[in-house]
Amino acid sequence: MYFSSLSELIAMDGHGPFVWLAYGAALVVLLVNFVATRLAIRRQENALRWRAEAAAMHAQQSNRARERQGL
Amino acid sequence: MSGSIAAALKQLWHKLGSPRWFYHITQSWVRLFGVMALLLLVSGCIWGVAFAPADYQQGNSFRIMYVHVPAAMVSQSLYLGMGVAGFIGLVWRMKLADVAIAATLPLGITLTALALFSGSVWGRPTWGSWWEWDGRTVSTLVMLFLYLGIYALRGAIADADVRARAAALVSLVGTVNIPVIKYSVEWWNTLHQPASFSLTEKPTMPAEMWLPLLVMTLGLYCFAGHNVLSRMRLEILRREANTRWVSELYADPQAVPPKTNER
Repeated sequence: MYFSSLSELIAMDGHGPFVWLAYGAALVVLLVNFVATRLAIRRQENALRWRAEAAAMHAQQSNRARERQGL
Repeated sequence: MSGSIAAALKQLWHKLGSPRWFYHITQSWVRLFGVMALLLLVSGCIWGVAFAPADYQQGNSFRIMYVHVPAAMVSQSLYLGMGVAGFIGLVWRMKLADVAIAATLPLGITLTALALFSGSVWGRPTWGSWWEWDGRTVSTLVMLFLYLGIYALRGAIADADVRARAAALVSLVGTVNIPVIKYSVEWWNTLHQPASFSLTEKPTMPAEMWLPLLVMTLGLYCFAGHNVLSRMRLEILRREANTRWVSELYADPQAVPPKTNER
């Protein structure tokens, strides 16, 4: 490691606040993009799954109705 | 030989027009880019923050470079990608081109903002000022406004075809700003330091300083690949929700198929 101790790494000869602010902002940007995309995909997949289930249920009901009518 | 390559390219071009093909082919790419991004960004960060030597003039503030330069490079590349997609969309009316533009915008906007913000935070200890009206800073700010403009434009137009064409046109026209950003440090005499890093030339920094930058840049490109492809696949699932292939993706394989009247 370039620094001799952890506190030196955090302080960075007085530049610490600037460096950590920049890295913190980068972390926030990457996390927000990642999480927002993940959540939106999950929401869409759930909607599609729900639709498929509803369609299957509808098919089952109409099949039963057909059987009752002797078709 | 060249004929078969041309034929293969033509086939690829036609396949690229198919959202379904794109959705399936990119499934493994997304995963690969995600893993690569995680590995490269984590190792690059640790390397750049704790192991690279401090700059002899700027001290430790130069470590902001490992965030600032990749963010600037990738945000410009993403814009360029949008311009190419805009061109393809305008000329060949490819559906996926608008999908690509829509999927690039959120990451492009936030990475440009990150480049400006990290530059500002870097400027304070090195230039003595949070903000300078320097050529590269201003042209990057113009890029941010172009990104935001296209985003707002897409939100304001209800008709899908008009929306796609308008966004494609602005994306394409806005690419003139990219060379301005690139050559700004040569055209105007400014505080901004010239490129610290180029993919084509030998770096002037020692290896222990530029290697972490290379790792971070590749990592951020992988992250961009992961994020933009994921958003494109999401956009495809939205636009193609009523097609048979999408409904089959999410149908329960054990579900009873509906009976028809055929006897």
